[in-house]
Amino acid sequence: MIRLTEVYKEYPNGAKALNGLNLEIGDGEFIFMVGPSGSGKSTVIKLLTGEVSATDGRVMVNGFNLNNIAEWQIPYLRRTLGVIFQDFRLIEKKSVYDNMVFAMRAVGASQREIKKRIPYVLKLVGLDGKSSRLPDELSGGEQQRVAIARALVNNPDTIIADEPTGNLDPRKSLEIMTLLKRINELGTTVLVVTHELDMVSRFDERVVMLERGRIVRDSAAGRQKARSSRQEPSGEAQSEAGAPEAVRESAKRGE
Amino acid sequence: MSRRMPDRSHNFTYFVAEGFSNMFTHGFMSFAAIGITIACLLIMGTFSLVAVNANATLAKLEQDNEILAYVEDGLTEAQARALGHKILAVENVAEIEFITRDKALADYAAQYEDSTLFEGMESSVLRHRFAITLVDISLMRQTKEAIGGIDGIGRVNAYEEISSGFITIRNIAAIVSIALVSVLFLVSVFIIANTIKLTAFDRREDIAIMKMVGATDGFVRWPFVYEGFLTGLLSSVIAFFMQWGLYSAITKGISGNDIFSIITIVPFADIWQIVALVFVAAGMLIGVGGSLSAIRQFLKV
Repeated sequence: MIRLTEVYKEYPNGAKALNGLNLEIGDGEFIFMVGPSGSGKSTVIKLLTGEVSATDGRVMVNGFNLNNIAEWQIPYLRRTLGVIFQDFRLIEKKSVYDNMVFAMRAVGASQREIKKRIPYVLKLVGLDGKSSRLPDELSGGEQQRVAIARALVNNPDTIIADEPTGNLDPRKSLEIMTLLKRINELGTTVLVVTHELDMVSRFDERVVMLERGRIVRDSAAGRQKARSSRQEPSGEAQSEAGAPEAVRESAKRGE
Repeated sequence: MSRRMPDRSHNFTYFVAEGFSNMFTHGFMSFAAIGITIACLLIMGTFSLVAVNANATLAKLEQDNEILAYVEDGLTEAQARALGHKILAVENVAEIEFITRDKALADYAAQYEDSTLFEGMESSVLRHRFAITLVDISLMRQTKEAIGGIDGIGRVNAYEEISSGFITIRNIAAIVSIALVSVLFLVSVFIIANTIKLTAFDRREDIAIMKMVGATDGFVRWPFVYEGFLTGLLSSVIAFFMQWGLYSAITKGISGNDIFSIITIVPFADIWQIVALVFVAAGMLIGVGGSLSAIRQFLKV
């Protein structure tokens, strides 16, 4: 569960990146975050990964309260997250397998866990049989699959993908996005930050749009509002219809 | 694997293996770090050995600065010799040598090329005497007074100003040596930290990835620490043998030259253990200190 409440972020140079942001991402959700450059998307990622702290407001990530998190706890916060970057960020001198080992070693995994987990994850992302290749020997799409595998290998609660298809052609982009959706269906929360609206429109998922450090559109919020308006009329609608009294009467009767 | 709890275990074999493999993976930078460490150790070592030899030379010169205690005229040679026990009993007296009148005259005459000057001169014009060397020449005045108080000792000659001059020179030399070696040590740590910083810069992406997947600072730091340790150890071993060769060559040159006969040379065999110990300790300290200082800025991710 991720919850940002009235979050403000101002950098030391005076740039205001977030301006009272409210966002809640439930466990197991798939969410797109879109917005123009400078809207605050990158700052949200940095906040969630503990790279920067909020100037004001509350930030909760997978049970960690980032407002008073100790420095030594940040690695443990990050172990609940898997981060995927546009430029893949693979270690060029290490094979696919060793890139994964590197990530697992970093969190203190045993040799037995490594041997068991890596083949499973490589199969999940469709890279079984390519574990001995170097990143240079793979296509861009495959390299991004390695990055996804590395993000997944430590079994995180949440995957954060920062422009994961930015360097890929449309067909590969769709493959990667479909893979992320499949991972989400297995129970992992997925947050995809992107500016590719065409891609977003191909998936029927929650979309949050940021502008000037605030959410200006939240499709999930819209859906919930629509759902709740069907069940429980809003205050304005109630007064227009003159219904409050009737509702109160129903409540008294226990209806 | 622990996700929310602090890592308690220290994966020694993994960290050492990583540190070792990093030395080879980044071969050129390791070569540069080792080369610079050797150069720094050799400079510090050579300077320290010069200081050790200067100290030994000064100590020898100090020992040559004797006190002369003259026996009163009325005593026979046997009575004069008997005073030796009393002098030896005085605190701070290291050694004594009894010099008879005749020997004193002969020594005196030997200082002049024209020995005919002293022909016919009676040794009775001189007194029996003791040449006394001290344990600590800074206590020369007190010792001189104590010896002067012995019955049968007439006069005591001590060159206090020379001894205090030696003490001043030794003190200055010690301070200058310590200051210079300290400065060289700090400069070495700084140079090596910067060299290792370049190797860490080469690996900043790896470090950033490790941090992003949840590696603790310790996990990132340990391989660098062991790498610094191994770099320092290897450098110190090489530097030790180079220092040995250099020292032997220089001392051989000096001992074969009469101009340098005043210099007291400390044989390498007498000091090799301390040199080895200091080199290994300094090498490892420089290596580990340099690594820790170099990696600090890259951990802030």
